[in-house]
Amino acid sequence: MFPISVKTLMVGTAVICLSAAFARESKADVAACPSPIPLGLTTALTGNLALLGTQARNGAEFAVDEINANGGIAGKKLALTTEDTGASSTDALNAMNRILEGKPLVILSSMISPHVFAQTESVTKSETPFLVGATNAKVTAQGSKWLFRTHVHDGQLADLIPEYLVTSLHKTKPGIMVVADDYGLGASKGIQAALTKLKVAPVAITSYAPSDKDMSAQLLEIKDKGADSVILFGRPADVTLVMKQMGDLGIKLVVIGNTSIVAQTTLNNLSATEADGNYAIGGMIPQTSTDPKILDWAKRVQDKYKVPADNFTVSYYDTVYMLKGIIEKAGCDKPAIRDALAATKDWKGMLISYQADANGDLAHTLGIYRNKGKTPELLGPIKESGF
Amino acid sequence: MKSRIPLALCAAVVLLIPVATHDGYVIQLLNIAILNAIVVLGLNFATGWTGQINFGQAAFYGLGAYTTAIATKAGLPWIVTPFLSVIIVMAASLVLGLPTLRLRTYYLAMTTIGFGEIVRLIIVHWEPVTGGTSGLRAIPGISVFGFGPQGQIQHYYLLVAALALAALIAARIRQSSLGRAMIATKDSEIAAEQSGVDTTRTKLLAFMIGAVYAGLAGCLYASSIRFISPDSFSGIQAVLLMTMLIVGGMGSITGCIIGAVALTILPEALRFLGQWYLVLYGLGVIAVIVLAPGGLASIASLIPRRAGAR
Repeated sequence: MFPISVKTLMVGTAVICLSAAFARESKADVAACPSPIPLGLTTALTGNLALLGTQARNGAEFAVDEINANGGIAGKKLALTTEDTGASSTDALNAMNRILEGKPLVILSSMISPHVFAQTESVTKSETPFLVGATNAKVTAQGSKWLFRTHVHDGQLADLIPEYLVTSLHKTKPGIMVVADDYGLGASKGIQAALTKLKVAPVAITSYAPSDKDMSAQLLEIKDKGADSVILFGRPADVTLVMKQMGDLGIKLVVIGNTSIVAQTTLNNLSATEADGNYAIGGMIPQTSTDPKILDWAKRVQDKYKVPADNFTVSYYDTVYMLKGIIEKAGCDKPAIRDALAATKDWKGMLISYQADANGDLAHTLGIYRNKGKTPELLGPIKESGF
Repeated sequence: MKSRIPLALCAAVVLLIPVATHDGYVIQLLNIAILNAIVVLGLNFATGWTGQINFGQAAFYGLGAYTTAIATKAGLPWIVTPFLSVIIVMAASLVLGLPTLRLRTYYLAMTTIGFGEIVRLIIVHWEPVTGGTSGLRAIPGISVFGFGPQGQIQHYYLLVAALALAALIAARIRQSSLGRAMIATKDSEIAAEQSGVDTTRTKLLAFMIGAVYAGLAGCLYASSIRFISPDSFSGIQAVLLMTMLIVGGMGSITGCIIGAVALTILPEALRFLGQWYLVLYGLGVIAVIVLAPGGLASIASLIPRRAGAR
């Protein structure tokens, strides 16, 4: 009897203590959150990338408004402070320093990689979880354990676009045309490397400056060198110009590139003939969904902001909801939030599931799209190898 | 003696700012404003005093920053980098200045815009060395034989000292025969030549001294911010530097500093207006240009004159 009673007593005590500890901890952690819970966001709201930054801001803000309208997190509302990074890294650093002065619990930042590169050291020093949409593959390779990315990156696109072009569309003489900024030039290098692995040599490699309005010389070079397709990487505004000028020059080649090709802002400025038949691989866009809830969400976002929701809107919207779930479980302890982000596994967002890898990349599912006239169609999701 | 009182007061305020505020954001902003002031002081040699429109100053700023970043990341001691930066920008300004400074007005402006674009394209496309559009990060900080400023406040005092030295040298040059030759060249090249001034040499020297200022500011920028990318030295930055000079007061050392500080801080101070801040910022710049053509520095001199007229 005696040994049993001691054992029972010890186990019982342990169970009671653990239960009490856990019960107190989970309750105390949420209760310890400040009210409102401060979140920071730096994104480009002015300058030549303002559209992308605005679409990202819309996603985060829409989610915060929804969460607050539904009672916040354990009764505490979220307070999102947004600062404009403008178009320069120095301004992005200023914006981040200003955000850091507000001591936010979590910081969301730009999809523009040089801005994130400029900010990473400050945020890492502040030991604040840092969630970005920046697309340069190297962003998460900086060695910051506080940095996470919730959008697909150009390293994934650079592998998947050539593979789809060569193996599924059977095109073996592509011309490459990219915007000469961090996004385009980074992608161009990756695409060339991926084509080499597929034993395909691009017939022409061209680029244009972000402010260029006439890309006919590059397009004619690609055509004259006998290309059977164009791999195009750019922002919606310049991709629109390229596709319009292809129509004007009578160049009829298969075009495949990033999601700018199927972005609503691009398609709004193209005719059905100019847009038709072009392919894109990239972050998931809501307009191609068959789910009425998602289509309704996209409509509500458009109605509220007068700007279509894009892949960044979805990504930043998901990010805020992911944080909500984490704060509900881990409370407002920054290292606990960071650890929870690093342990993310199959968290279901609006269009994809998120899973953290060793670098802090959480998005590994991309969409393959094709324009049917001015309407993008989802041909199917495609996953990064290993996921 | 009376003229030294405001200067002493200004110096006291400048030195006490970090004591009054421990706000890292404010100090960082002031550090950037000081660096801009040094670059604008450099621009003042060619544009303010010699009358040459120069949109290449941002490119020289970038050359200094990239030289420092590349050299220190390659393992060279920091103390070498100011000299390296000066050599590089002097060589670049000589190469640009020798064939082009015979050009006047808009033609020279166009050439310097072209130079800025060439530098930007080299930085963007020479990725293995410059990091391309991603820029260069984790740049080693300022260190002289193991000693260097730690934190933003120490950087602030170092940069204030650098600005004071830059302003002092500019003032001495202005008082020298070279300074007088610059002003003469600006007033009338033909008259200056008739008076024995070698205007081409004067313009070239003004251009090179300005480039050295920008190069050294770039060196300090790279080592204190510790991240550089091409967008910080673009054509937009060149226009901003020119605006700082005009708004502050072309030809005035105080004006250069006031213009740089005002136009660095103003957009940040107006951030509470959201996306409208650019509208107000633009209106503010227009207001200064229209109401005080001599720049912000001239406003102080206008006040007593108006008071006396009453």
